[in-house]
Amino acid sequence: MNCEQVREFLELGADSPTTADDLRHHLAGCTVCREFESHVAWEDALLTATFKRHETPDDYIDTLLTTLRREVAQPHTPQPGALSRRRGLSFAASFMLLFGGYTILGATGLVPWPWDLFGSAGSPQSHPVSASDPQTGRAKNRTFAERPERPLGTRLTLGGNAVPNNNAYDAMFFTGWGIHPQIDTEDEPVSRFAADTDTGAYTLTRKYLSDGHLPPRELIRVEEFLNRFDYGDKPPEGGPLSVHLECAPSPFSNRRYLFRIAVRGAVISHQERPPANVVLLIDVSGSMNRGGRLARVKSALARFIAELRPDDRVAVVTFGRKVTVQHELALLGRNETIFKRLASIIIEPGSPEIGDTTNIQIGLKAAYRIADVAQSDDRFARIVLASDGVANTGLTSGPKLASLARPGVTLTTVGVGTGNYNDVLMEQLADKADGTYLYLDRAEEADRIAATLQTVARDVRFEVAFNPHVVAQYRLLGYENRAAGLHTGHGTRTDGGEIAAGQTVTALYEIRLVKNVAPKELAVVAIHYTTLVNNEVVPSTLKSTLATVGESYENGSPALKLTASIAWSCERLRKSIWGKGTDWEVILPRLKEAADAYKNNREVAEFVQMIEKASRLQNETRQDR
Amino acid sequence: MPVPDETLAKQFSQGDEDAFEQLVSRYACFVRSLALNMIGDGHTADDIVQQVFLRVHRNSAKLPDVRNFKAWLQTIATNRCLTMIRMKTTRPAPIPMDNVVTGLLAGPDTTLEAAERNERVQQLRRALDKLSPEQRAIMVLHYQEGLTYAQIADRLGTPLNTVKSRFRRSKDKLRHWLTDLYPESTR
Repeated sequence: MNCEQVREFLELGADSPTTADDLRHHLAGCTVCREFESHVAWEDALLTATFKRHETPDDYIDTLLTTLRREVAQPHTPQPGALSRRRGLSFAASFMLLFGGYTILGATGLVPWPWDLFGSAGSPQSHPVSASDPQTGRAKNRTFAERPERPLGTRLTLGGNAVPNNNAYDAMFFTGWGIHPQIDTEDEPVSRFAADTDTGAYTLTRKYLSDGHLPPRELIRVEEFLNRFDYGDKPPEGGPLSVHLECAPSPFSNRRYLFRIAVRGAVISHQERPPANVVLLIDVSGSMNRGGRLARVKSALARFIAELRPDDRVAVVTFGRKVTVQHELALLGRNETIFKRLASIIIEPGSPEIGDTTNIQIGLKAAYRIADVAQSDDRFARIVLASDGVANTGLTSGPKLASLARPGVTLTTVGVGTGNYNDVLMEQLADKADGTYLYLDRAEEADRIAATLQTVARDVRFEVAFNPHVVAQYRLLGYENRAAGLHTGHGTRTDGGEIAAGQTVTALYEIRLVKNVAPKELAVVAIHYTTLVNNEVVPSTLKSTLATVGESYENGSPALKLTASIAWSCERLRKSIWGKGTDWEVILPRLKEAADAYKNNREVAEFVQMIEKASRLQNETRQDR
Repeated sequence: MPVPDETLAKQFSQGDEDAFEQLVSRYACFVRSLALNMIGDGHTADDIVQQVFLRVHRNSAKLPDVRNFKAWLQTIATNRCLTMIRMKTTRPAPIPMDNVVTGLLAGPDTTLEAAERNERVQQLRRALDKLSPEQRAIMVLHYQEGLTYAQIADRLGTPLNTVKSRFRRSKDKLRHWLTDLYPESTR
């Protein structure tokens, strides 16, 4: 085998099996050919990566089928002969046949074409109706076109849309924050963490499950599940917050107790709240084109605006490569212009040189400028950022972007899309910039933006001092990225969370008591928060003591039972080491029992369904293994 | 066991529209990728997907004769792309490229400036633009679909030796334009 043959083999492969041995022999002794071999390997890797299978948007197939149904309903002339000779057609010949006999010269050269005769190639409207093949073609066409549209989400068997690398969607970015350990009160009697009213993890999990996928472990942020629900805790009778403490034996683990802390914000009706300045900040970069993200955002925000009052002021800003103020901050009034402005927003074309650009930094900067200038005595300011979090220019991490935040302005980050979605940025930005994070899996989620518009307490932080003589060990479920103290290395101070009117922040500890000691005065809970009075930040603290322990779990309040079942469902979902011994057979009946007390709460019922599905999926995957 | 394509095709030709929808779901992704790799522009790629499946639908009567549905679809799709390229007055748009490509182009040198990385990607794009549509079709069928030269020859209705020589020539062209991008170890 000479060098030339070797090169041919390397580049084009060969049919004879003996050549492979010859090749190895030759390569062992020939440096030039060995170099050529690594050369070809690099080229192959590069070209395989370049000409890869591209992902299709989420609802691509559904949209395509809808279009096809519409198209086949149009009259059309079959192109005789175009498809019958499927083999042996040269490029030129197939091209000729396709357009009914126009001639081209050779494979590459072509004579000028009278394009207007065809309109766009293959466009069915431009052809006259022909009588040929009327039965097979047209009768069938009609049945296809007349069929009702398939509801979204009920996909067909997708042979061509394999899930990449065993993930449900491509390029989803999450961060794992670990799971809190058991802490001995002897080592650290005080547990500190910041409130968190995000719900993004909950809705994103709902999206995963409704598509039939198990959510990734890192996504299960327990606190975002707990704080999703209204447990019916009493709102305060005076002041902005009320605290509720309860402790009862745990049905999920031996000799442990559950300790629930709930803080509820004062309820302020829609009419009573002060007027708002709202800046809608919308990502219009190319990635928002995927799976109709922008359209979803626009309809959700329109729904949100419809919930606002006429004396609220609204501005609309879009960003991608550059920032555009689509609608200056103005009184909403009763006119419809803002809806028209919103509807007219389109995706920004990518720059041909750089490609698609998303610069959240410039967008946020502009939004804060508008919101800050507009701050006045009796109004509060809120920015609503709708994006998929895929920032690629300017600052691109949540904490860094949060440095743009200005005091007094709160932020809601609204995540949208699956596949190329950055959960980390959206969540961290909200955490660090006085905000909340929610994920838009359906239009109703927009109601939550309106419901949480008015903040009653800012920078809310929890400080739980356990009595080491009574409590031996404690473990906080969730709040992993909101905790401060000895065991997290986050220092003693984290940025607190915001509590909106009527909203509840719930935390659950699992504790072990010191043996043979009467359980009294177990812990002192201090809630630190600030309020804005005439644009002045006023810090306050609310203290409450957990004096006794309930006799049994069964006698516990519905709120405790629901909190505990939700938390343990999450433990199981995120495969926590502490939830290992507790099977779905234990959790599910408890959850259903707890949910029975909340019959009128649609969300609780839905959560039970979600968990039933998740448990089924988890059991199936275990069996598969 | 999924139903074979040919069975679905036959069912569709007998009036079963569900079978058609299943075929669309199975292959829309493949046709779109092929179009995107050939033409680079997402909108044109979407148009091509529609046109290809409309043609399948209109030719339902011929489907029972198709022995290998996927191969048949590859032929239609590739021809459709070639037609579109020839019709278009503009050059193909750049294919979207991901981190894998950038990583390969940057090699082990992680300190490479973003501008330099970008320049390398542009260089690859310019090199790909030098390929004729036919050469590009062969590259796409080979690298995206993993087809052998004999299979490509069959799909394109071109003699085997023509395919081989076109493939070689396109590789030579790319080498010429990418010569300074090869990693040190392979140079």
